[in-house]
Amino acid sequence: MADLAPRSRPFLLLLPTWLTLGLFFVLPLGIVLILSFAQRSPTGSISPVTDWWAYISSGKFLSNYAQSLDGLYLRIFWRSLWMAVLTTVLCAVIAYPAAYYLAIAAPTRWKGLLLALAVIPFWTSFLVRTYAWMLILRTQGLANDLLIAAHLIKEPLDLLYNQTSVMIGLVYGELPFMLLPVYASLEKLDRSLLEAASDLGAGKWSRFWRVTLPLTAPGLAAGTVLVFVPSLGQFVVSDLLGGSRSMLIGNMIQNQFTTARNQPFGSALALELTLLVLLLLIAYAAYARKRGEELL
Amino acid sequence: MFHGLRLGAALGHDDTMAADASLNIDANIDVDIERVSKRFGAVAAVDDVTLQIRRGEFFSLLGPSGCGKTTLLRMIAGLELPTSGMLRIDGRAMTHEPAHRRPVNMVFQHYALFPHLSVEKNVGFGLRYVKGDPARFPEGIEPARLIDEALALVRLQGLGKRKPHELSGGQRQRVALARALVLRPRVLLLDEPLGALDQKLRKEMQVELKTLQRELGLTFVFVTHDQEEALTMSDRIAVMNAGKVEQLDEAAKVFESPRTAFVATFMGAGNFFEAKFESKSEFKSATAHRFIVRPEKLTLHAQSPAGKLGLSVLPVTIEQRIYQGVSTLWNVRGPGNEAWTVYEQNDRPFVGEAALLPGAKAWLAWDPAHAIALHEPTRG
Repeated sequence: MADLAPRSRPFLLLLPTWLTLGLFFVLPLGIVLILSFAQRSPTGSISPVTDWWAYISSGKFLSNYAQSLDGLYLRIFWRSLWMAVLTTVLCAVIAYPAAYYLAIAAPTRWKGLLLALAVIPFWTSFLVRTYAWMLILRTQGLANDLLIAAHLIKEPLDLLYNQTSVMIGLVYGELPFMLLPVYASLEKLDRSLLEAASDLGAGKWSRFWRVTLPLTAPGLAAGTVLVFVPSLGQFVVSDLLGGSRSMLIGNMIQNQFTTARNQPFGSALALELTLLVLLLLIAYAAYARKRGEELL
Repeated sequence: MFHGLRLGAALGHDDTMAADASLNIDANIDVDIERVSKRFGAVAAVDDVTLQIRRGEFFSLLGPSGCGKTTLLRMIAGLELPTSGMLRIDGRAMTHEPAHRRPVNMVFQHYALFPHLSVEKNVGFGLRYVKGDPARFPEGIEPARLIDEALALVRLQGLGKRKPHELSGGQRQRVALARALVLRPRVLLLDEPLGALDQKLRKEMQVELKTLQRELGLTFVFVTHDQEEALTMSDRIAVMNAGKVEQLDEAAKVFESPRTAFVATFMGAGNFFEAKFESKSEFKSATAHRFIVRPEKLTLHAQSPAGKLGLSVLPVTIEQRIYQGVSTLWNVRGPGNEAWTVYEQNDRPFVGEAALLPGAKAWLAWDPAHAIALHEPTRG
């Protein structure tokens, strides 16, 4: 090792990363890509191709993608998309004021504790926390008990297994991923800029819209990516808290690989989802480059 | 009934007269600070300060860091509110008015330019609020034209599209200046605006700022810890120490006749000594007083110059001679072993120069007119 040319050393440092990425990211993605062009056999495995030329020229290798354009699947795609958008918007609307309080308004001695409180949920498994929501939202659950005890309702409400419960679960789970980057950008905000805005005649709201918000937009953008991408592929929350009418693209892909035993179709759906996320990330990278900021 | 009405009318008339009178008094005062204090917990950053800043003057707040000069400036700006006292700007009570409603603008120490906005958007930032002096904005004037004029004023034409991070320190400083000036404030506040510039640029900007101030006839309140800078630019200087104004005078007076040892030391090296007045003067007593003589007012002589009439003379021992090109600096010891500093321009050959070497005896002489009596009791 000692007489290795200095030039090869950086490569050695990157070797573990390349190996990990290659083995656990590039390789599986390649398998999924190949699978997506295959056909399901009647027994649920892959049917072998005998005539390659006929298979490709007939366009049969694209049949999984063609099938995914069916109205039923498009509806689920569409629902996943708007629910991910709504999750992101709700997270931003809830997290921004909270982050603002943490970074700017909270007394310094409380800051550490409050930040810790925001991070503590990470100490518990996401699955367990989602189950906890089932206990809260079910017919005999905490939410209904409290509402009845407060005489606000007489009969328990159907809070679980619908789109609202899925939304609650998504927003709850993704909130910290919006809070932390927004907090970081607010914490970084140079207070003398707000004083300058004030000195130039800007009132409270003007200062917020013209200085604070534009300067913390990178935090919001990072939070958007961190929330939107996992929400789009989410299947645990919708599986546990959702009903049949709140199925997301993630559940559908999971179904193809398990109960439906149609790996090729599942692969095609997974790749479409990956492509969508990739486009979003490219848009984000372009935005970040335009602002001359580091990515995430 | 009729009588009562006449009385009322007369009273009304008197009221108007009073208002007019107060208006006349205030007309030449832009900032009126009356017994203003600012406490942070137990610490008084500004301690019972009363001063008035006149219309159109270049006024400096000078003092070491932590003396309260910046806090005082920030209270004028409205970025800090006084704990007690009264503040009037342009004759209007502004003690608790928020910053965005005061007819003043500030050039911040580190410029505080908006990094996400271009130069012209920075300069135009405040135009939609026009908090400076609305009377000075003719109706229907284009914001773009005002921005161009402001940029031309600070010689930054053509750089309007740049972002702040694409500018040099000096250029950023000018943008900050243009951004404040474009609003035509009643008073321009400057918080050590030249602190971040290198020496050469600093000197240039001092002259430029002074010229700008004179041409615009605008009131400048300038905060600095650099006495030379304050002397170069100011009409009047308030020297601050520990939250209080130690001396408020015309620039030259602060330098030539410091009232306290603090001011004397802060305005440049001085030599202190104690002496008694022979006749009772304005100081009334014949007790010991503290005096100061500036190093450049002293001369060193190999032979006693006692023959020359009216000079104060002191026998000294030379300790060190430092040749500085245009001048020579001497450190000498007096009869009581006290240290004196002598600063002499090398504008003539020294008399008996060879004799004035370290260790040699010599005579220190000065014109008594240059010995300044300090207005404070002697300290141990």
